[in-house]
Amino acid sequence: MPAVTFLPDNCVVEVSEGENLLRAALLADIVVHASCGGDGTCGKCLMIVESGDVAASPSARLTAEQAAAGYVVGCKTTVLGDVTVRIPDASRPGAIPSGNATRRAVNPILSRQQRIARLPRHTSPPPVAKRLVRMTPPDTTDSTNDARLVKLGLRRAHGIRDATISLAALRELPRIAREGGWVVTAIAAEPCDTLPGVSGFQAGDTTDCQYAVAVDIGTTTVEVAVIDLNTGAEIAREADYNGQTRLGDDVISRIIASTKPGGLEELGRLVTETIVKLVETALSTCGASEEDIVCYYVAGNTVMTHLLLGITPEHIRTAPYTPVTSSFPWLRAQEFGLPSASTTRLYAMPCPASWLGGDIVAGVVAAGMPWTEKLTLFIDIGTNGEIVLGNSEWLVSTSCSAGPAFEGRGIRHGMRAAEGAIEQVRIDSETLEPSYLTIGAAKPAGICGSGLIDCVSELFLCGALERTGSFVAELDNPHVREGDSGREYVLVDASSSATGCDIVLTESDIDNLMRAKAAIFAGITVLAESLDVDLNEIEEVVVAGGFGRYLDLERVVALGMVPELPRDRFVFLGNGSLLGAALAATSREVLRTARKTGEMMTYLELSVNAGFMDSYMSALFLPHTDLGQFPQTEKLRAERSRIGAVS
Amino acid sequence: MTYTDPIENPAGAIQTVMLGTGYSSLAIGGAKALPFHFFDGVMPNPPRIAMEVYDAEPSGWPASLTEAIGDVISDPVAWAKACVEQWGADMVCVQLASTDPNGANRTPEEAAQTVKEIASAVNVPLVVYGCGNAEKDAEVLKKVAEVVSDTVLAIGSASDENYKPITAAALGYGHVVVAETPIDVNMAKQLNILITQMGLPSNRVLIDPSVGAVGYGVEYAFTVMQRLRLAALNQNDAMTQMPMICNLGREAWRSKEARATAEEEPIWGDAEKRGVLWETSTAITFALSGADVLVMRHPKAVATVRTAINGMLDQ
Ligand code: FES
Repeated sequence: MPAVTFLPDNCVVEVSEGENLLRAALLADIVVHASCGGDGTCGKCLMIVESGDVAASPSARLTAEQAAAGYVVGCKTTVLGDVTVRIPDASRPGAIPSGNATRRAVNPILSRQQRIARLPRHTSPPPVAKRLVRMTPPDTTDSTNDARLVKLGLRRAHGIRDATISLAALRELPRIAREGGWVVTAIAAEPCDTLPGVSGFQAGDTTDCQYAVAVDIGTTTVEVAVIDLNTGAEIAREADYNGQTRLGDDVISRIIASTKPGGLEELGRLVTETIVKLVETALSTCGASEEDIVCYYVAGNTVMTHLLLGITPEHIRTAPYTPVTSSFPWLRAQEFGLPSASTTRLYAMPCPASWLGGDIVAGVVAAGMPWTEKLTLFIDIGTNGEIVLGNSEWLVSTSCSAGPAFEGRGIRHGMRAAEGAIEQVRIDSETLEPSYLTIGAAKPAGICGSGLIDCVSELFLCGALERTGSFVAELDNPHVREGDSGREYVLVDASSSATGCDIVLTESDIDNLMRAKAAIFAGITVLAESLDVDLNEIEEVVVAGGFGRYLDLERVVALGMVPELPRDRFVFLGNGSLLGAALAATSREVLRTARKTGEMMTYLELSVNAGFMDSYMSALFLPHTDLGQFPQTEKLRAERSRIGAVS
Repeated sequence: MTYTDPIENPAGAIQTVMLGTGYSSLAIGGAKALPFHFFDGVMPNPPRIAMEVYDAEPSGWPASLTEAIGDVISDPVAWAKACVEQWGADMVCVQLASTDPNGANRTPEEAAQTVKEIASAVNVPLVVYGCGNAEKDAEVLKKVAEVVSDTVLAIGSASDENYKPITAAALGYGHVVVAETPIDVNMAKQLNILITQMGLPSNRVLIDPSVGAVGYGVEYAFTVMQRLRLAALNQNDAMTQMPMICNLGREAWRSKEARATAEEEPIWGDAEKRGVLWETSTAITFALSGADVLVMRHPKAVATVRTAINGMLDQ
């Protein structure tokens, strides 16, 4: 990866090729004036490239003299190799922190290669795929029937034994076999399936185009990915809020809604509509045809999965709190009206317990936990915070209600991690001026989960927030003002925002985030305590969640959401549920492991745990009531608030 | 083999907080064991009894209480003297209820003057509580701290809303802060962190855990106080090692059982005895759960609690 050296700070940061200089500066913790979120329109993030290769797009924001002197617009200049960049005084709101040269390691979301490296080496074919069968045409000396020829072919070429063929497929087979000159493509799954192994045929060799769709149904957000089964690569991805949110923000209110007359059908319809819309958009962006989708792999929490399949979740809510089922049969996607062929299947990840769903099973698999000996802590941050501790030998999980703050709901200017969402924030300790980048480097429209975490963490580290999460009372700074419900921090000025109004962070937003992070930290501590695991023994922490590409783990720690452990123990996976579903689509072995994982996981119920409330209260403080657990954060805060706006 | 008693050897100790000045100064706290567990470790200072004095004649108190206090009830200085000279209070707890902006709304200067007069009339340390309005208390206590700076007062209560100005006043004039949180171990710790991080040494903070009375959450308060004490002693958790003050007279006399007259509740028996018992049993409960200062009202309850504490000290 190219290294970017910033002067005069003398700070080095490694970024991937093609990353822009403003991002690199933020990753290096350098605050640069940037009020358009990387849109290139404010012209404030000027930098001077002293050496190295960059690609700078021409900008009307630069005068001829500036261009001649090597000035570039940081957010519109991408890194091609190692570069040295000087940040002029005029581009920074505060003084240059004195200190020694630093090299900051960043951990953005794991790349595909990094993820694959965490999985077992050997490859196995997709559970459902198009399989090419060359039939030996029957003649008078060999009167083998059509179906038998297909079965022979499947066994010889693909090692699939005892394939069964659906009635619909049998009806088509004679025509297709002859049309295709005895070369057919069978849409075939492994046996031991509730559906016949072969669900259909296509004439000739159509294996070039075969796709699977992975679907993550979150309580708040639904995300889909189209996977090319020939390469295993994701070729399109779309996300949107779950259409069910209009019937309630959390799973409990959805369950209640499902018990009303017609409610179950309504909820099923709403989520299906959301999925259909997303898949249609995804298909049109990547140019795949719905006829070539062989299977849907759905991962959702237990309630979401029940609702999609039209199974009542009502008994999850009343003692003894049981779901109807923990595993689901293979189904036909057309039954749900999803974009598909008549042969397309649908598989839902197993949901081992009421509060432990297929999303977590998928996430745990995507994190590589079933194959590692390392003691791993997996945290999935969504409307529910799910926490799993263990390794290949054992897995214990728990879940706590975090609320939808991380997905941008219940936050004044919150939004999903979509274009225009502020995903990364740095704040100058001295002036409290923010520097931020939006997803897609578009005009800022709102704040998504990672931006929210960054922003609150930064305000705390600068000393602008009390440990209780309220603004320091004697703070006198133009960025902090009295709003209509308490004090607020102005992140974006109306003149720079896409919405035409100021984007602010209010005290009640901070409060929501505090409660969410406290629930997650309390879940972690209670889970570790009940297993007699010291937090320091955890060898790896995998953080998952539908954030943007960057989740700053140092800031997640500073907030006190996860324990303070050495930085290199943290990994950010991205949307683990979606990834796990996508991985299962490409590998029979992964799917089998997911099923086994579902069976081996045990669940710890927090609502009956006497220590939870206590842990929660002690986590409702920045970073935590037990400051001794966060020595680095405390050090950082002391250094930054010393030069800060408030002292 | 001979049997030896097992001994708990606590890792931590309670801070010793000094109040007052000169020969009238008084040490609070300092225990190295659970309350009255002399077999485990020392308890150098028994729970102190602070008697309440209101800066203006309180209204709505039952006759069984006002009659016991007598005429001095309308004169804070005389009331304070009676507490010390007649009833043997270790300390006086001045309640500046009349500064309440929703009531008489007395000014900080007037309040400070009252405290100053009481301080010069009695030779025991004072605890000074505001009216409970966070903003007003900050102003009032700042003035009190400034005007009465020749002796160490305990001023409060400081909450997460007004701990800053109150702590600043205590820092500036050498006083002690009473930190009040709503009966929760973590919240008590959090406020102590905020206060001590402003630079006030931890031996200048008292914890007011907001207790209830017998029949009104006494067991909950007992448990929280006990947990604070166990964290302080066994886990050596510095943010729980401040002595505790229990504002219990107010709570006991708020209960129906202490207030009802014999006419209202004929089968409950003598009203005064009942009220005194209510306050006494509440106070002893908290003495056993680790209170270092008991804020009380009725002279007879004070006498009984004193006897009980002395009895336990002599064991
Ligand atoms: S021009 Fe780069 S941030 Fe606005």
